[in-house]
Amino acid sequence: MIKPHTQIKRIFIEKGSFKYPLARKVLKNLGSVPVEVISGEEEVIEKYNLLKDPVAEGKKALLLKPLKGDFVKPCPCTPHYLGCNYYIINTDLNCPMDCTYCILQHYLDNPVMVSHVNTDNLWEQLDGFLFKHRSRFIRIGTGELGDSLALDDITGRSKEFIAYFREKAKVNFELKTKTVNTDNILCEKPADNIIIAWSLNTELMAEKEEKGAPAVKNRIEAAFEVQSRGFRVAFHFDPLILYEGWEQDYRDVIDRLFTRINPSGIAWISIGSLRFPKPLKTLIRKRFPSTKIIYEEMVRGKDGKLRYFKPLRIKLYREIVRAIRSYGGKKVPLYFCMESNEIWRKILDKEPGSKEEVEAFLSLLPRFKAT
Amino acid sequence: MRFTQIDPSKIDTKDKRFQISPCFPVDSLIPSIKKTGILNPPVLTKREGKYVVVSGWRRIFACIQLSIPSIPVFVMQETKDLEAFNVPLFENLTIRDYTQIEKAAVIGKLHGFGESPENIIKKYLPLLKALPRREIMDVYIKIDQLSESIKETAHKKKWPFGTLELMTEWNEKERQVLFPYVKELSLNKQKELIESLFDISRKRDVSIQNILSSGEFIKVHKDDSLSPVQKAEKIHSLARTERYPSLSTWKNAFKKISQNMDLPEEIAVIPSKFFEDEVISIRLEVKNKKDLEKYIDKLKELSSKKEISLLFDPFSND
Repeated sequence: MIKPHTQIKRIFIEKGSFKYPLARKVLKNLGSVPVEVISGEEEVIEKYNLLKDPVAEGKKALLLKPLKGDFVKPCPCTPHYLGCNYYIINTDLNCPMDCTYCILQHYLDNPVMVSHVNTDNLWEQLDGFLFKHRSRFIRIGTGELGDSLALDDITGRSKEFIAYFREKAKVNFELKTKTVNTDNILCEKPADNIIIAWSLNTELMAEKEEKGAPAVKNRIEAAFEVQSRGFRVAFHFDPLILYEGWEQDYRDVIDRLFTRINPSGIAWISIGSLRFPKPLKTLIRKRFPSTKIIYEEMVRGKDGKLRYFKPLRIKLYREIVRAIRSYGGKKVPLYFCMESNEIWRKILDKEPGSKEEVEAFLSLLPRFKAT
Repeated sequence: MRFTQIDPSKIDTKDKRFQISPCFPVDSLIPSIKKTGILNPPVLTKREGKYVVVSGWRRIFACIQLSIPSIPVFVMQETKDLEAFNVPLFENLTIRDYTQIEKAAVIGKLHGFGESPENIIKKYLPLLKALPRREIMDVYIKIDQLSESIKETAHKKKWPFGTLELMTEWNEKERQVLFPYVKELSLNKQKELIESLFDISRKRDVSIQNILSSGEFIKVHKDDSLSPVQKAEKIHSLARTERYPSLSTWKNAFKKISQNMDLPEEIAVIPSKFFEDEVISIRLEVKNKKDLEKYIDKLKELSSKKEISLLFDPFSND
């Protein structure tokens, strides 16, 4: 399997960033890749705005810079739907893979991958954040604005995060990925509150719509290895995509998942369907002219984003949940990402009144004991 | 720049290299020129021995229409088209907002005059209140290549960027099939029609000609009893139904159930937008307290009917 970082052909480093150990480590690990010193991020944005496909080109470049603001933020979720009170850590932004539906194409102003190298500030901020919220459980992870493990072999962040969080009993820390970049994880001693998660889809969707990402069977194999090492794992069936033959294809992947993975070691499975802001549709149409996923029956939801017409979503979710429950995941905790109370009630027979209730449901679950 | 008098019929108005607007309505200008003459002389320059218009097209056409034998003009000595083009560009920018078609003409001409993409993106797009991105420049260049008839209509009706961008994604043949319908619709419906047909076409891998020459579409197309606007409205509605089959089925079912409930016209039941919410709204129109009491009683009576639960899920009986 080709390591995702090998597609980096250019490094930008913000003036004054050489002093950070992580910057020096990445530069050393990327060896012969040309380096350009820049005065600020704007310079890179301006440069890439001149290109025909800045998103594709941005995936071949890495910007090393300190983050001047907050590393930890509440997950933005979406208005008018139920969130889960998740927190995100914005260490690395953007991703070398090129998924058709990826929101980051539209969400991030800077198309280039960014690694925030001021890790001293990160730990300070995390200490402050966890102290402030010491009375409650926290679910937190790095995989929201980037893939948690895509650059892990050059940054080594996963080892540091695991070391930092393993003693934090009231925190569930999640690394979320589509990659099989698990060498660092497999060298670490597991801990109950560290969860390694994979985004899954059907093999067909992975092949057609998740350019640069490993096949789903390989992701499941990576999860198997990580679970065998003693870590808890999680899965995200998000975005579920409607196409001709989706029912059997999703059943196949769920069958494969429970054939390899011990369900008692699955922290949770999240479910969500394809959704995106309207302007992303134009971008997808241009960047991926052969895709058909944006032409299904999608209407504006309460948050203004395009999503499948509700009866279609209900049918999709019913089928997925039925498959998870019948193929071995009878007791695996399930939750919806960015869905309504109505969907929770109709599909999972639960109606959390608030995101705090969703969080409590996911945080207070009995933990799988690492062996 | 030299000031002189010139016979307007001697100007080569076929040379449109500096023209930004696709058309020049002169009717409103004629009374003013009749009364006061030309107060602000047009700007010309010489190319291949002929006078060509740099700015002031409307004034020149109005004078030609009025058969005025001689008008005051400025003649630019500038020989580079790119430099000369800055005159009409900045002159117009100071007095009005450009339509999307005019912006496209500006970008198209700058590109044609050899201005670098970097300068167009960084210098000119912000002037035109557009995002300084390559993709935006590329779309404007394509918009500028649309047919004259489409550009003229889009300019007059001030079509938004999104609609024009979609038009550029069709080929010329497809645009010509679509345009007679699109031009009759309101701005929102234009975009909906273009987008719906585009989505159907991409999803099924069929051309727009195929879509419009099949099923109900062809019947509407051939129905001579319909006016162009009625045809366009029907085509729009058919396209939406084909693009959103489940939603259309739900809408029809909801409508049928509410009709079967035999509601007085003062009471209306309205589903949430796209049925996304569970909530339905009930609108009650009353003139006085007596009316209010009467219809509240009616609502109570309705709430006991079996059909009322169907409104929350039109297919729950299936």
